[in-house]
Amino acid sequence: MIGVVFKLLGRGFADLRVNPWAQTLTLAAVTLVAFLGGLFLLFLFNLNAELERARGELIFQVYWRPDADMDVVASQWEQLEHLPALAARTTYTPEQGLEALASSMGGGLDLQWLRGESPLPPTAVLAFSPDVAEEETWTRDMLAYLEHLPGVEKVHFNVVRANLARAWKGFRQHLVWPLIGFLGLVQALIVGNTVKLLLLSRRTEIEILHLVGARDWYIQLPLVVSGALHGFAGSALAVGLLKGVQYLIRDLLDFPPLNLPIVFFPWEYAAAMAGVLTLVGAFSGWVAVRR
Amino acid sequence: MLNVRHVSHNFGSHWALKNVSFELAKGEFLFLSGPSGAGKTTLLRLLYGSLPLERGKATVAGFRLHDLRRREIPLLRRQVSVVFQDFKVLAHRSVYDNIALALEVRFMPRRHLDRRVRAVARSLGLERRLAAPSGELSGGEQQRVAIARAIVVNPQLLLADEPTGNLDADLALRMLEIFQQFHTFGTTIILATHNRDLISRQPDARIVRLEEGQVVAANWPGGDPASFRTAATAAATATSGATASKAAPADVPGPGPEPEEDRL
Repeated sequence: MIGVVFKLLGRGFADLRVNPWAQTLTLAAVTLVAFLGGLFLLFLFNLNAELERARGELIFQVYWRPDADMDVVASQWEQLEHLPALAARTTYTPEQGLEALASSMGGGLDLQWLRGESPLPPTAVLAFSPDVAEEETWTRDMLAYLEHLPGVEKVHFNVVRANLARAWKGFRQHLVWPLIGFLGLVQALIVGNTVKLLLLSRRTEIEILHLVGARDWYIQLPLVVSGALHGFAGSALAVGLLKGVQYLIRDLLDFPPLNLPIVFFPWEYAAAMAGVLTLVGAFSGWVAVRR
Repeated sequence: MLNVRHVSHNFGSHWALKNVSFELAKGEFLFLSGPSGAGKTTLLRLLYGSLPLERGKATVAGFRLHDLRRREIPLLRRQVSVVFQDFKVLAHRSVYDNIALALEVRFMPRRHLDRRVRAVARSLGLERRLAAPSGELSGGEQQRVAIARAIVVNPQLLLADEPTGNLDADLALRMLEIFQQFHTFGTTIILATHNRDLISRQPDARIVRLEEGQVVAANWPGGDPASFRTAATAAATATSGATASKAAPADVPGPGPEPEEDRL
């Protein structure tokens, strides 16, 4: 029995030689659909990354009293590192604050005379990416926590920026992810139908197998393998093409003032796309036999 | 072997079969005759489970078609083989693979399978063509491949739907000889055809004629046609019976014509 199963699986591979034109066109169609879907995913991924970098975070600027004990402050900075939803933390001692200030003035301001006697307070700039559902409460609580840290004089919090972050997160949650889901569904339908059409060209074979008393699984197994191979090969080719396209256009928008390098989405995304299309191909092979 | 009782079948508003009844004993050879559209193919499709039997009752090789569950269809088809006018061979596979297909789905061990395939191929004159792709064969050879695939499993019943329809007269007679040869080995055969010449070549065969979905004639080979009805009702196994429908079921439009036993 196991031998039969392996034989049928092998037949799924061997059947790729049958009707090579139809097989090639199906593979091309699957690749094209996966490529177009992937291109859109690449666009969304880069857009999301950029907007998140620019607008998607809540920024708190925490100022300590100028006379605060720097050892205590440094210890507090270490603790801040473990705050939930912290995306980035930048800290400035009074001296570092002075350097940053001079640097931000483009070298036109000489503050060397204040070295060692900086009037600037120890400062921490904290960027958070909280869950949008509980953001208002979370922001209020975080503000209160930071204001009550020992030695802290004031905490600045940009309400407009917070609103922007909230709006973007809402947009992403209500539009981008459903859009990606819809894209996946469209891809699945097109790839599924394409593979199913190919398998329908083998309806005579399916009919004959039914006629000689084959059970459904006996007929389905090679078709499932063929469908899965088409899904996998098509998505793998598409990922290769996407990587090539991304390499060619990576610097297209990377110039001032945009400075947007186009990066490839994580390989987990590519693997997920290949996995989904492989499953869709296999499923199409399965349903092609249903009467 | 086969018992068909008051079977009707419709495709929408068209009644393809109306109240068809007949019996067939093991080892018999039956010609199912009639013009195109008479219902021959529909009847055969019902007999091998390709269409659901919704009106009437039928038993084939121990399977009650009116109660047949979907998962039982493969089992029925392991007892009932079918040969078609358009051969239905896998063109891209070899003659050997086509014949072996019917045994592979039964998980027959390779050694036995090989022996059976070669023996059947030899009996049909295909032993030199076993490695050839079936698509490269002539029509007559492809039909022999289809017959080989049907008989290699030793079916209880062999159904043939216009098996000579795509062949010239000489090849058609050669095919009939092949069916006759397997009939002498005890295979029960139903051969649907509108070829009267073919029917006349098998004088001892039983004949059921369909027209517009109804049995309009049936013979009792070697005997008086009038005795047919008596024999049909008297003995189930020995019966070579085809009882022409005298009245369609209530939901079948129009009465059936009177039987015409001598009209074939």
